[in-house]
Amino acid sequence: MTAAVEFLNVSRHFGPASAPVKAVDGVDLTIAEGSFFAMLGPSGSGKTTCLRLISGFEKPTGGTIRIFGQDVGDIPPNRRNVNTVFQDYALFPHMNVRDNVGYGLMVKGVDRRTRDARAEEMLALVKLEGYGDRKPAQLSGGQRQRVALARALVNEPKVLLLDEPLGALDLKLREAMQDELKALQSRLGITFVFVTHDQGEALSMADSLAVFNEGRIAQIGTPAAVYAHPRTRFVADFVGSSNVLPPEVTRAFGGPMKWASLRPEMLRVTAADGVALAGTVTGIRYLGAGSRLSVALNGTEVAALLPAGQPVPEPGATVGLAFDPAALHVMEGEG
Amino acid sequence: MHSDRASLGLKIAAVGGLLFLHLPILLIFLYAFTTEDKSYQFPPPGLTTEWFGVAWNREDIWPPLYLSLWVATIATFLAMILGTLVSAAMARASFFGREQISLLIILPIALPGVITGMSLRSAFSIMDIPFSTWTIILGHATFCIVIVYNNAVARFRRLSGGILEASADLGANSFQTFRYVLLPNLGTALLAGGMLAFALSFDEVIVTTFTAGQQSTLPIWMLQELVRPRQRPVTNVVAIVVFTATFVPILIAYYLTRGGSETAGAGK
Repeated sequence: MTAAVEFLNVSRHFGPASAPVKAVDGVDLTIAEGSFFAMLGPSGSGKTTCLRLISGFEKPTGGTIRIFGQDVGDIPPNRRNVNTVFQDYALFPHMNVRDNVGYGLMVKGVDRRTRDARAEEMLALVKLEGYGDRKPAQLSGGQRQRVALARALVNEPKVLLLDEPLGALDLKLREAMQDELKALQSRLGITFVFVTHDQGEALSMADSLAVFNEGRIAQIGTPAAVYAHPRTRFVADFVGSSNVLPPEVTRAFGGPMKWASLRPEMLRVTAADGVALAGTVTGIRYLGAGSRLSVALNGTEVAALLPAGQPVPEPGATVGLAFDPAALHVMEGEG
Repeated sequence: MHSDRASLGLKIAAVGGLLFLHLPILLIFLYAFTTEDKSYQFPPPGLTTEWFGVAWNREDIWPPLYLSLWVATIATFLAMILGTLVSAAMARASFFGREQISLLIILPIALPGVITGMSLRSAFSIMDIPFSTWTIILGHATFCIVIVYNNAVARFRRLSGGILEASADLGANSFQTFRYVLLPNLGTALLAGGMLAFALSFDEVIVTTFTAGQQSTLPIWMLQELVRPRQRPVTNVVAIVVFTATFVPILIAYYLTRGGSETAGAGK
């Protein structure tokens, strides 16, 4: 399989060389052609800068970026076969929807009839037939999002970059758009690079994902692999908020003297007597589909997911915790 | 205790204030039609439109009028170019001392005209530049730039920077982005700024006094004319022309920049 995007030891530092702000620092990355790739991380972790390095709005201060094998170091944004769906959509307010969508063709000199026809096709693709004459201000947030998508796809990019495209939508709409984006991606076969801080979104949509922390990639892999085997404490906590156990607690849980991750849903809450691990319930958070229990255990707070239907213990009660030893994941990485 | 309706006292005060501000202007108009040409006598002894004809035939009015139009046009033109460039730089870049430089740009309009006039006059003298139409234009351009800058920089801030990047992202070169995205969004602000600058330049007296050589602009001509006791209503006729020439652009500028509802890129 060809690599759509490759980062070879790419850095983007800001500020003076003596005390640089390392927005992106020594990133190596390969995004396979036709895949749905998510860049996941908290704000300021470097994921958006990486996206802007691909689109060309940022230039690396070190390393090489290749798009379909071509070094793009000297290629400005307008000559890269890459298009972006911007976070705030960035629709042209003075143009109607049809002209917005057709803009990429207009600047290439395509005649009006052809580009209007293409714009209608694109609007049909995002289920916005008949909205061509409206101005962006007359659309809802979800509709603007679709226009931004249609506008970015009209140039038939080889890579589509999406910068937190669902961030401004409400939950219901966001879930619907997740499904639609995924379906669109598999239909078009275009490589999607998707930036998000929402780990649920990344896990459910991506074929593979990179977790960013402080300008570096903490882990890269399929959602299942990253979730099941977080490499570092940061990944364990950020992706699915796992219990991160210090070495001595791991030891008490029957593991080696190392940092380990234990998913809350892997812990079973049992009666307190006759088990090795017993603790006091310090907090209960009702989640609808279950409850999240905080249990103080030898001075460590451990979260356990209690499925709905099971009796919920009172705060202060003593409970036992049990788990499948295979669920205790020992992490090799630091940080 | 908050009433939606203003009290009677407040209403009277407001109406009184407006009358105080605007009645003198109406009197200027009235005296353009008076039959008495030596003094401003109230009420006017009679009304006539003959002064419009007299003004039209007075040869000494035309050169100042042409000069004022010429100065205002060129100063506005210079200000539109320089003011737009400065506002583009100030709106997009962030650097050490940005706020201070912003203040320096606005200074010519905040400073008393006397100071601007004096400093320009001494600067022109030191540089051995003879006073001419061009020194008037330069003097006017100093404050016209500020007007254009203020209008343009406000619009630049309201434009989300994203749309310029979106344009480049979709394949547009810098010229296309300027032509198809920036200019349509900046156009009304520039036009409004230009109109205001024109109006301001057209009736400027103080800076002009310091930077002009032998020529008179229309406001200066009026000032000189008021001292003379002959054909006074002619000055009032010219005042009506000046009023129209400045008020109409200001009105248009107001309508162009009114209403922020179509703010570019603000909607989410």
